[in-house]
Amino acid sequence: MIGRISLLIVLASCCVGAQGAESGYAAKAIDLLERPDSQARVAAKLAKKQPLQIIGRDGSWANVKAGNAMGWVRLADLRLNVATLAAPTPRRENSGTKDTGIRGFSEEELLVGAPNQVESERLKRVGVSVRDAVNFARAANLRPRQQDYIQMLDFMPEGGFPREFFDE
Amino acid sequence: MNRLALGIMLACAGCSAHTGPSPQEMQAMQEEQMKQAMQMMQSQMEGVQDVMAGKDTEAARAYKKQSEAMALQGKQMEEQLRKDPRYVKAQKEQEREQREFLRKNPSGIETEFKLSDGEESELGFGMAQQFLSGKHLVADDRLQQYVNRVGVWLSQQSERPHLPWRFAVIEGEAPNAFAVPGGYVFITQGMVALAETESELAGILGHEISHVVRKHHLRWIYMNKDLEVSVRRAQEEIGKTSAASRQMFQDMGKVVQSSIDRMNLPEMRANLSKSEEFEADTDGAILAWRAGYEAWGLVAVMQRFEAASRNRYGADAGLTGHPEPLQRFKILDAALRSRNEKDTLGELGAERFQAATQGVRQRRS
Repeated sequence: MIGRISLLIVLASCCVGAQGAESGYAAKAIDLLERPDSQARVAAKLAKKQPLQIIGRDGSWANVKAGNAMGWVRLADLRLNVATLAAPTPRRENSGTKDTGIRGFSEEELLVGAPNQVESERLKRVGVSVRDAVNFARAANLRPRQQDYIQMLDFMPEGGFPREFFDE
Repeated sequence: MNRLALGIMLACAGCSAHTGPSPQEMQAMQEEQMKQAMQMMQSQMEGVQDVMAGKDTEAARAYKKQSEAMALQGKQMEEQLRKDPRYVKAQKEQEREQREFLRKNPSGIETEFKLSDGEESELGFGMAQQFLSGKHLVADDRLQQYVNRVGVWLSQQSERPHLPWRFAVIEGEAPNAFAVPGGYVFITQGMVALAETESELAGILGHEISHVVRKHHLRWIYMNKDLEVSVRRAQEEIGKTSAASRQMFQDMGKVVQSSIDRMNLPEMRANLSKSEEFEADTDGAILAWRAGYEAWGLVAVMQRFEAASRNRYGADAGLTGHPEPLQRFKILDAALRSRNEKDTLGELGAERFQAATQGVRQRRS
């Protein structure tokens, strides 16, 4: 009995359901698989740009519905529709500033303006101790593990990714 | 004895006078060689500049041809060397040393930029104060505490666990996140709302933590400083040498100066910061995994970010400092797929995340 309950908990926690009904489409012609496993049987063939409803996610796999067919595709082969998400703020034109990268905020925002004493004091106050964070992790069943960082050379083909890799 | 030594010396002097170059000739030859090297450097640089600008000039073609020939030669030499087991062994040893170096200096540079963690935090706090100008932390203590717990737990899996890490959710619907040196990380409520699980939040925070761990911001400051120093040194040398050499050092100074100018070209900066973003993406995903989460959280967030950004980036993606979100998404996916699948899976923390971020998420819908 306990075994069955814990199995249910494991099953419930391994896949996350999409908030609301996210929709998207196949990035290219791909197979819809019966399980999240590249060796799994093909449930249906998907055409490029075929509309999909996203039901959930398990690691690098998305659980999707294509018409009446249900199955799994790689996240990498799935694109989400723009309309289902909040749009980022539009770029400011001709402001004479440039973005600082995905760090996102413009250099103007970084370098200009009076230091905000009130909010920076709050920034200090909202912090938690390492002990607090470790207790939180323990309660959440998070266990530290060892793994080296990924080096570019570990996965990048010799001479870099070909242009086709990025083309849609 | 003395006479013999003198004889030899005279013979040598006589010999060199007839067959070897005089000191003057020697200097002229050296100067000629330097001049040729300078010309080569300059024409190469023209080639590099043209290639970067996408121009199809003679210099660009010559540079491309030369670098292709060099690459081929290098490849052939490498193939030859690979047959020697001693080379393979030495290669492995070098890789091991490199990994060890990166472990000790996660920024990838030796820490010549002498800042203690305390000094770095002080500098960072100053930047944080400035950054917060006109901005507000979201007035939700429970949310702030939650994000700090996840963030601090992640930071403990990094190479810099002892920094005074602070995380703050700031007001703003646009999905964005930002870090400054010393361990201060900001995330907009719009970015929190883009995530659906704690593992996804961990991926975002892991990315920002990695910028601090690898000292990406400090590297920019350091690199500019380093180049300035080399120009100053070249200028100091000018005063010490003959008129002809002086001219050459001045020219060399100009070349170095122009390379500094090129450093500041937006596309150069963009290219460098792009590789830093890819680095922070892969490091951030692994940090989340080390902390017990699945590594795919950041990929999932990036997928939504890509869709949300599609209108914004569109055609001119290559011109901004941002690597195109789609490019980052694909590269991070490829990076994680290079690991065993079991080394990418872990906790999601979906329910905990939903409960703690309810306020932000309600505001979104």
